[in-house]
Amino acid sequence: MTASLADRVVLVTGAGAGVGRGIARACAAAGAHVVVASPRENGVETVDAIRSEGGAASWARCDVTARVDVDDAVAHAVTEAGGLDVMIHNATSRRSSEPARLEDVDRALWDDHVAVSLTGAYHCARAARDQLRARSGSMILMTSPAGMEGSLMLPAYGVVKAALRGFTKSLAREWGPDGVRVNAVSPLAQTPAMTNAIKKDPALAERLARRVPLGRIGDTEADVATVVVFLASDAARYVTGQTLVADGGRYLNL
Amino acid sequence: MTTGVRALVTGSESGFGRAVASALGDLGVELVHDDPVALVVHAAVDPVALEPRTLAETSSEDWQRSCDEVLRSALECAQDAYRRLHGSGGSLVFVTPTIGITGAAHLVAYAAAVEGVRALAKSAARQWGGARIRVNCVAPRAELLAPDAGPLSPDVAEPALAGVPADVRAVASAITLLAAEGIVVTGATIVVDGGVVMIP
Repeated sequence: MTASLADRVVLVTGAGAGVGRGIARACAAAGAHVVVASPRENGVETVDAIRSEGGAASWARCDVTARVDVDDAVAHAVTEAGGLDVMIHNATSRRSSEPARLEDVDRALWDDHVAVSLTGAYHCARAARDQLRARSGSMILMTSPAGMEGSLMLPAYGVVKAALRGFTKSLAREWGPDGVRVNAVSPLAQTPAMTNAIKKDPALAERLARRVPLGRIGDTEADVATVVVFLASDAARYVTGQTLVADGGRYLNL
Repeated sequence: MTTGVRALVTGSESGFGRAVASALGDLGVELVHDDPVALVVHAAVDPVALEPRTLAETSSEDWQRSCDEVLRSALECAQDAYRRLHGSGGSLVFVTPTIGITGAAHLVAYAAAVEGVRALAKSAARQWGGARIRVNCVAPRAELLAPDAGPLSPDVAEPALAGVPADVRAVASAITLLAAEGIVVTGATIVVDGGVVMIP
């Protein structure tokens, strides 16, 4: 059983593929109208998948690093579906899974991570604020264990994912008095990036599984997106400022 | 214990950075600008970045100054520290106020950046351990970094060490502890606020 998002409007950034697509589909399956925000046309495929399952969705072309795009995507939610209840910032740099040494990280790699994750979060929060306040809504940000325990391979990714937790906790304090909740989700899921990494290094799957008490890598929709739906729903109405870890028990240090 | 250790402190020309440098000097650390160094401390603070405002009142320029610039300055310090320390090893310490851990209303951009810096330290610790570079964070209350900004930290608890000053000397003591020989600590955050914030 999943929590209900009937009559809710949810916007998901980076919803053209991977975890974002899984979240969009799960929210639609729970009854929400989903605005699929993505910079490329693959957002249309997510919308088609949702509609073929009987759900409601529409695509907004949206590069989260451009403030006007995010403002337009929220305006699109208002025009298409009458408002916005839940803003989900899932988009990350396309270079997120590119291994790097911190001493060699250049300005371009760094700035791309910061722009998509952090400037994107700022744009999403600003654009959604009035709608979320009016409708006692919530914001959800996708983070990562790389942000909590550091990362041997992806230092820039770890930095921005940790910063999103600082963002989440701070905005939860700021918006709590207005009845708006802000939470983060830290997933471990079988994404296209993960599938590619395993293709290159078949032993990776086994190494990962060994570190996961539940012994497997999660499914984006059945294992991770359901947790996002829970946080978006009234079932989580007393939960704010938290990081909900949906990773089979891999990270237990909190 | 760390008497005579050669240290480079960023931001030591003014404000919080100067106070940290001076307190380290009082503990016997030798403050230098040139190699060799065994300790690098990132204590540079832009007080403007800590000016509280709601997210709704935060302009794109404010956001960049309080978030992007704070992160970039930490990256530049880390990369510079690597160049100085990777031959002989040493200690790199970031000052990361506790508002990153607790979150703080009206400081969303800065608190986000602080958590980013703590993760930067952890990733650096993991990548540079082989070069015997240890990377840690020292977390005082944010009010210590920007004394003129008014109250910044959320009211989460009374300090356990009531009446004991959690001032810049506490920051310096923790830094020297982290610079000591034989301390097998890296990727850690030491909170120096007298026991207000306790990490889970």
